[in-house]
Amino acid sequence: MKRLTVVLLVLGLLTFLLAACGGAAPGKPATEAPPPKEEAATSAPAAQEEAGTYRVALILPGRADDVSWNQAGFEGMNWAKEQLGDVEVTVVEQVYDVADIEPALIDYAQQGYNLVVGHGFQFQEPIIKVAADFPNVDFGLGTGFKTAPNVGVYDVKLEHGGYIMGMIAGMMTKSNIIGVIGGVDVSEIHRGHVAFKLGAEAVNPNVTVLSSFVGDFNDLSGAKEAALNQINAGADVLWQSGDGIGIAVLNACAERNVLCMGNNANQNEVEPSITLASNVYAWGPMFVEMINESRAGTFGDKHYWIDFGNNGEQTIFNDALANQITPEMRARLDEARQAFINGTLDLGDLDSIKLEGN
Amino acid sequence: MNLNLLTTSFVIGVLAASIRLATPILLSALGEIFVERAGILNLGIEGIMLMGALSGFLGAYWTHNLWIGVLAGMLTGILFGLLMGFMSITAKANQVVAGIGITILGGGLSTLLFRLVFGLRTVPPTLKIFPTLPIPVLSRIPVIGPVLFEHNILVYLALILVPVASVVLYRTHFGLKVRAVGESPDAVDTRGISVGRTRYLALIIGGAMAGLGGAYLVLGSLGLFWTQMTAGRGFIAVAVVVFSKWDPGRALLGAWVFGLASALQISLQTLNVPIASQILLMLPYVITIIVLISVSRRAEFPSAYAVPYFRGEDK
Repeated sequence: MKRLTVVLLVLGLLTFLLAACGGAAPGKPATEAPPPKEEAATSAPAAQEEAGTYRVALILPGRADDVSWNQAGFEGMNWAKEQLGDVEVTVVEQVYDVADIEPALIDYAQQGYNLVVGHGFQFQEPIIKVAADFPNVDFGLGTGFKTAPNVGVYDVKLEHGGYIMGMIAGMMTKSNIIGVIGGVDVSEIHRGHVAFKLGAEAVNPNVTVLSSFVGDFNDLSGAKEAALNQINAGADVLWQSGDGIGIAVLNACAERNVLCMGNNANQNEVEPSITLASNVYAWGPMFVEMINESRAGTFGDKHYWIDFGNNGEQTIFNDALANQITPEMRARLDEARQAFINGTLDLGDLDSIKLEGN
Repeated sequence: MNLNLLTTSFVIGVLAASIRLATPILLSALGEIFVERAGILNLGIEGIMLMGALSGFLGAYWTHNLWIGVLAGMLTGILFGLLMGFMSITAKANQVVAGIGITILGGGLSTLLFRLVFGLRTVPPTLKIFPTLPIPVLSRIPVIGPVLFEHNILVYLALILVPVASVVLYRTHFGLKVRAVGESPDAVDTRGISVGRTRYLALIIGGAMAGLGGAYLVLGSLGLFWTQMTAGRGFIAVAVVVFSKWDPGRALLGAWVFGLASALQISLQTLNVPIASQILLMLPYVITIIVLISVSRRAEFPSAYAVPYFRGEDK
């Protein structure tokens, strides 16, 4: 029993250790994910035709009201549903454990949903695996690099939004130290952090850019300490790449009266006294496009993007602090934004640029 | 690397952070020492902390009184401690299974209740946390002052509870009963002391402390409740208890080692050392595992550890 206890404890700790490297920490879906069913995969097409209406399942790894990644996805899908009118949408929250993802995907596919959307990078491997068994169901993957005939990846040009956020921070800083905090160093978050640094350096050659990761999107206490640590190091403008931990970064900035910026959803209202602007994702039109293509049979094997060009990504300034950003600054930001839209500003391959040790 | 950022005030900040990060783990570990000394392994700490965090938030949010939040967190912790007691003492269930069950229940129930109370919000409900309370004179000592004596009241409370727990455990009749029940429940029973009652009392202490540990995250650190916000701290507390060899003083050391490793990891990222963030994030857990493995070989577990007590010959 004693030995078993130690083994169990070590196993438990290993789970969290793996969570730290993999970016997927334990946590149970509280708004219950449907239980896995062991039925034959072939029942899906029949159910699909019987159902008649087009059905979409959106699987969120977090809370639909996280004022961030999940909320932006949730609101985007609701917008799409309202626009299209004849689409049925089911949303399930907090499928955070990677072990819970596959059963949830299989369950929706078997229930005859036409499009099953996994809102996060951690859905990549399970979606690729499950999609092969359900060729008649389309799968949307929220960021990633693998596609299949019935898998389409949707992603955000966070390198563009992050670059703009970096420019703002680079122009606003007085200490010439700025920082950014994220959940895990992966996918669009990585590109956003690298671009944040590039944007800041483009407007301020003397700037030092700090970048930290919390390792767990729910560890708000850890995120707050990371933000306080950057502030102690002299950072006076912070950005964060979102999810629950973003709230904690805003919280730390408010406590120490340091300027901050939001991401994903409009976070200007969370801490209005210190939040300069938010890089906001509007997924709605892109979800409409995905659903339309899925119905037309042209879905899959491709990437769908939101960016400044299609207004899927927007820089929304906080009216309360609008006077802090001068017209000259605004002009430079608009210029960079336009350059991204025209394609005259190309940051190149950011995946290969390492954040640590630079 | 940004070594130019490595100033004295930065280092002091890291040390102060290590105390804050250790606090919720220490609070929960102190309670779990009593529980394990009484012969029960409670792996439900994580779930109890989450329920404590939620109740602490609701109590303080509704009454605008942080102390009522603290009390609510502890009372909910006690309720869940009693639930653990019912399963492990009265129903004599497997304690590992019962504990994991409570962890899962606490995580799900806290999220569900929060949603039921607040619904879908675009701005999360928040409250003002306990203010920093610098201790006169002591806080002005260089280095030690800002590291140890510039915290909020819950941090001081956790530190004060260490000697209190020691005295209760080693110097009181109740402490003796707790230790005896964990070592030799048969002998205790023949002396006319109720094994079940003593274990329930230990679980009440353990539940209250875990509830307080969870409430600290809300009332002493963030001012808001978040799903799964404990992020594994409950399990770290259980590990700290084994490391401490069931001694409150050593639990303080264990919790602080984990807090320091966490704070160190955070600052190494800020200083931009050329090590991947994924590796640095493992640091606190790797240290805890190494310490746990090296210590547990010599650890003398209570004899009746995790063994349900059956009276008489029917065991």
